[in-house]
Amino acid sequence: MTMDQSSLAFRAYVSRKQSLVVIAALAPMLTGMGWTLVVNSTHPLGSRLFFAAVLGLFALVLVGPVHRLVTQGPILEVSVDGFRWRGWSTETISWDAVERWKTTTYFGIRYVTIWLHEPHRHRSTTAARWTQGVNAWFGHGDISLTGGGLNRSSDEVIRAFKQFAPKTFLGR
Amino acid sequence: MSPSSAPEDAKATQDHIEWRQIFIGYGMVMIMLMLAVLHQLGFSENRNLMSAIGSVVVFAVVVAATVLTGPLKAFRRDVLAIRPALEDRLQWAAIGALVLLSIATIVHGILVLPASGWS
Repeated sequence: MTMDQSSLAFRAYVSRKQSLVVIAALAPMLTGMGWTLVVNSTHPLGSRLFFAAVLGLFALVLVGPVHRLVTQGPILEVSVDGFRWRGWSTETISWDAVERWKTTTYFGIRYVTIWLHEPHRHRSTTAARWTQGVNAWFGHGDISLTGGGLNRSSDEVIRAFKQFAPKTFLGR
Repeated sequence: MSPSSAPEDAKATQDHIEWRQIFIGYGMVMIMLMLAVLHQLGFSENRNLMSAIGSVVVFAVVVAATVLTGPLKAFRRDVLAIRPALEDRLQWAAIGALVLLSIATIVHGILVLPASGWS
């Protein structure tokens, strides 16, 4: 049984409302600062380039919400077969590949943190691969996912993992 | 392993968001717009006035958040909980207004501020 054929899977979709709120809140700030500090600025060229670089880094925050506005289909699926988190890759990672998982809280945000037996077999194909090393170094496992940006809450995501993941994974 | 319930599957098509996220979005846009307007009006050169306005704004936000939290929770519990479609429409309306305000802020910043000498 593949995950797409399963009618018992937990599915979460992107929250376009959340994406629009983030874009609407950040866009005027970045645009205004970009206009005054870079485009219409009297600062020396070096300073303008520095401001452009800093604002560019902040603008990266908008990439995710903009991309999610056009993302179709479930972004997270959890079933008896395993889980598929498109923030990581399009692969369905089976429970056999999971060493353990647990819920973690970081700055008030709850995550499902997953450790894999062989992480090199399930590499990320998204921008998450650039931060995975740092996340793992901070103790956030091989894959961390949250309810942020989804139409389901973190509690619902955690409940789905508790429901579908083999019970032996939790609490080790 | 028990299967997920049917109502949970039905919820997959809904789009939940907390009101506080919308309010934070409004707050960020309004602060940007307020700073731009104050600067355009020349108030930014008066540090004492800007400081006083900032204090009043922070105080007003804290008071509003404190006073409004109760009625909003009651409204959500008594009205919106039994009419989720109404909450959905209200949230989309609020987000639409936020997007329009955001666009107005951007246009204001780009078109008006350079003429006021802000650079």
